[in-house]
Amino acid sequence: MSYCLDCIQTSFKTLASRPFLSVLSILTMGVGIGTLMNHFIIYKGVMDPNLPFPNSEEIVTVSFVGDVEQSNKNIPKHLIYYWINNQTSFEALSSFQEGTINVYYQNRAIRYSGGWVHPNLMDMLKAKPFLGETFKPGDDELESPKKVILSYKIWKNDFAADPSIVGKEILVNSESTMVVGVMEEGFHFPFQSDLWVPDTYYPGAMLPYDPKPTSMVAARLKEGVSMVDAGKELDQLKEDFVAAIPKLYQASIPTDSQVNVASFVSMMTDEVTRNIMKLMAAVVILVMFIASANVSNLMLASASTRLKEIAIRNAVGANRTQIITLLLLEGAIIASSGIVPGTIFSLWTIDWVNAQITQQNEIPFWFQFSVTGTSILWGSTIAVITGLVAGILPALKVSKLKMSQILQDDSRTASSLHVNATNRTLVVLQISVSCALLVVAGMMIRQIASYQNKTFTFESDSVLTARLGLFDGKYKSLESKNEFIQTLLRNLRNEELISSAAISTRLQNLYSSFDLGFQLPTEDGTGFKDQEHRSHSDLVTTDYFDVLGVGPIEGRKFPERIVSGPTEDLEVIVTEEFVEKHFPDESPIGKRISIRTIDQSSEIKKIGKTYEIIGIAPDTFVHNDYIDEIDSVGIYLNILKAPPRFITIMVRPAEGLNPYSLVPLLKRSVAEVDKEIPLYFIETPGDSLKQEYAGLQFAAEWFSILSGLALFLSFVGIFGISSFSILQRIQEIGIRKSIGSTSLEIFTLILRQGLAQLLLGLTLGVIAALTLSVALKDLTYNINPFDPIVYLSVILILTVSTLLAAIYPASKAARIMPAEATRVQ
Amino acid sequence: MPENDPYIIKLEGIEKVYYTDEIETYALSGVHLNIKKGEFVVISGPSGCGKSTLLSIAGLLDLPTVGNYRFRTHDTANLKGKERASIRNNEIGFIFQSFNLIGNLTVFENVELPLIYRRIKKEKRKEMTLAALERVQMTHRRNHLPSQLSGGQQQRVAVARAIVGGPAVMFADEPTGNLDTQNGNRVMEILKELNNDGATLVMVTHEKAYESYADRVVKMLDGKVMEIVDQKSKRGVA
Repeated sequence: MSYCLDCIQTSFKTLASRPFLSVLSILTMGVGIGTLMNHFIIYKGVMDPNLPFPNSEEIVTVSFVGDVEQSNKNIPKHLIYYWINNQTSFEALSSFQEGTINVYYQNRAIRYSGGWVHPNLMDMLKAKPFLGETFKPGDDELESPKKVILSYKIWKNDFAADPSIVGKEILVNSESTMVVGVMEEGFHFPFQSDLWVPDTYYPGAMLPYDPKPTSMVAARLKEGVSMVDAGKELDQLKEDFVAAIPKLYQASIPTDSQVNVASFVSMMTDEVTRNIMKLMAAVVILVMFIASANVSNLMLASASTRLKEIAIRNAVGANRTQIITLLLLEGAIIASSGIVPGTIFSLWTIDWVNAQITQQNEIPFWFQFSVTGTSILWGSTIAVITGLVAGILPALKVSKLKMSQILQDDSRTASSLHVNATNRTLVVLQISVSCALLVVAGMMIRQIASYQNKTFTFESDSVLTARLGLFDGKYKSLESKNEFIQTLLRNLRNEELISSAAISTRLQNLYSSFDLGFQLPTEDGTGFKDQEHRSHSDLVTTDYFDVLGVGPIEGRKFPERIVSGPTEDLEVIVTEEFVEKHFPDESPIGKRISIRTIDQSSEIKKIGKTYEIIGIAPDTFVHNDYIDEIDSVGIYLNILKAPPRFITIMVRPAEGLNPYSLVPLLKRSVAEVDKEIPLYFIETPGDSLKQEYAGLQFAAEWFSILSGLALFLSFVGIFGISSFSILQRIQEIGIRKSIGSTSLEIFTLILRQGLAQLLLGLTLGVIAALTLSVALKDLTYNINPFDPIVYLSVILILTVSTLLAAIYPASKAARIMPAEATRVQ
Repeated sequence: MPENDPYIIKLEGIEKVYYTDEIETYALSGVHLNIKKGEFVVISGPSGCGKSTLLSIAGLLDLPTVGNYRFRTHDTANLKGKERASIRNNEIGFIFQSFNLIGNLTVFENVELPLIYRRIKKEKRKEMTLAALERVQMTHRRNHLPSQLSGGQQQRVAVARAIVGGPAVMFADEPTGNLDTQNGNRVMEILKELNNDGATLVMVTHEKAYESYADRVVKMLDGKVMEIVDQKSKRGVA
């Protein structure tokens, strides 16, 4: 112990004797450790968070997994209730859905993300209320009094922390509802919910065994029961349930899929996010490798100039183990001295990480990151291990040397160690790892740029959109919804600040509303062809295309008001792309197509309705479910014929006005029609798009930081090794100059060494980059792993930085005076 | 070695061969040398004759290619690296021509170093270190770095480091080679004092003047012992 303390003391002295290199090493290690800590925080927070309920690791969720389909977490309610009543693997099994819930209280209308939950959810989670109580059995029955539970956050922020809130009535989705409880601070479930209502289950009001009403499942495993066994039980119960219901409805249950039970967090974090986390973990390990190689290089260089010291230690009795211990401890001290700057770096940057994360919509509540004792401990442990690993190579090399020769001969120093070859190998590896990381970061940045350059055929920053929900409590009928829509549009059109206004179903005017299946007419127009086509579709009002500013439509628009019933005068407007694809040689106006209804329930799905094509609109684009697919909309229907629950208001401001200047006016106009309805997602489609890309943007920025760090570390490595090389070759340089070598030749000599390392590093790096980017393509986004621009840019960046790192030492070498150099021993 | 064996060092048929590519270079060839406890032996000869190599082998810094070497009770051929280090630490003290002090350690820390490897407690180390420094009259410079000392002072510190652990044998490789005459004489006086106090001393030098301090002078040429002059008996005869 005493020896170790002496070693530590000696190590600090050694560091103090080389202040510049030591500070540089400590700072680079600090950035490395800080990045490592942050990644640990993010990785742990995303993949294995501490959820705010007891024994959260016991909470699981359930999905159907088929052979070819993606996992489906939406389970028919009939089956969920069957499971609830018959399962034995879980302490409790519950259900939940998350979505918009409107609240109106004390003249304020606010939209929240809320949960429709089974009454046993809070008990299953073992979550206690801060005030009042949780739901009771039977609260989910149709005729039960309406109840709501608030989160601590909204109780404090929006209900003025009213201590007597329990028992008060508020309007929830336009229905009078009693507050029965406030949850403890920090409780959210499943993702961002801030209030909860019982998910009403009313079999009598649903089609028998209708698969459409679905929920997601959360359950708490009994002690000793594995997820696999629990899944088998639910699978068996599913089979029992299917056998017990009439044959007609059996198709409503996916019998060809297996029930999969998995931890709640793992199933609720999407696969792309999880894959990116894993990929980043690999990247962080690579960056730490570079940092480790740098420490190792530094120590090798240091060891070569300290051979005499080490030989003296050996002569006075230090054995091989003691010499190795000394060097390993030095490595660990260099690495661990980065812990304090690393923690500061982590504290400094974690807020940026949180800001980036919260830019995204609807992120899970557990995506909140902070520096913890565990993260510091983890980063510190890895740092010390990195340092120890970095010290192994120099320690082993030094400990094998013939010390007697070193003690007798001053000229035998670095050459005895053969450090040049080792140093250069490490630098080559650093360059290749940096190359691979830069290529990956470059590809992600290119991907972001390609999304941002996508044209949506309309000016996405010139239109303001806002979402609202018309809930059944007040807007159950088609007429009531239409009355709201038409009154609102009329009021908006009368405003001077507004150039045009429309309604659509398209969320933020970006995302595909729904797919339609349709059949084209036969040649003689008397019937429809058998083949079914599919197309993106949207429900819109008449001025929709004017608001977007995409130009006039050919034919006619939808009528402003409907004069006949919803099932008569069925009309569609199709897009230019639709016409090009399906009516290439004729005008489709006046032609009829057969469209299957939007309703996907098994009974109604079979009914096709005939629609007349009345107009042709320019193409506009929407996102599919996956961010990397952007397609043209094909068919527009009149929203007034089937107004949905959620609609998007779209307004184009008068000439010269900023769209955001219309926000107060828009809110006031909606309140004038119905003061209980809150607006949300108020922004331009352009800004919505930025939010949509925030996740990818963050991943790209994080990759860029890591690769920048890798580049910097490599730069330091090349600089250090070039400088060290000159120290070793100073006599050689002197002799070369004495026999006539010019400064330029010396400069080239040193530079050539750096360029050789660069060439080899780039070759290996490009191979590694190709491998990594092909893996990235499979794991995450649809990037082009062979993008030449990225590769060329990275090669250029690395070449320039390598030259910069080598130029200073090379020019220093060129300035060496021969007399001075040949005197140096 | 029997207890009544007077020799502390017994070198028999020592050869040291260096291999460079396919060329063999004999640094030592058939060296026989026995040294008694308390003896002061000088090894002399021209540059490259193998005297420092012989000292390295005798001081367990290097291994012979051929031959037997017994150091006190140890048959050195069978010793592991750790055991050789332990003997160097406990029974041997070294003094080098170029002082070989560690530049970033103070005078005190340099002298204390062998005791750290011996795992002696701090208080005891301090006591022993100060005693060694006192003996070479360097206590007043104990907090200085080697670079702040003159050559003579540095060598005195090196001597202190060599004697701090009370070694059975001290090996000195050209200890005056980097010093002026005055400082060289001073170092030699110290060494002689140590020898008079019972220390065994083996010193390599090519300076004739200092041969007179020795009991025996081993003269070497081309890796061989050419002559051993017993000056004690000479003195006795005289």
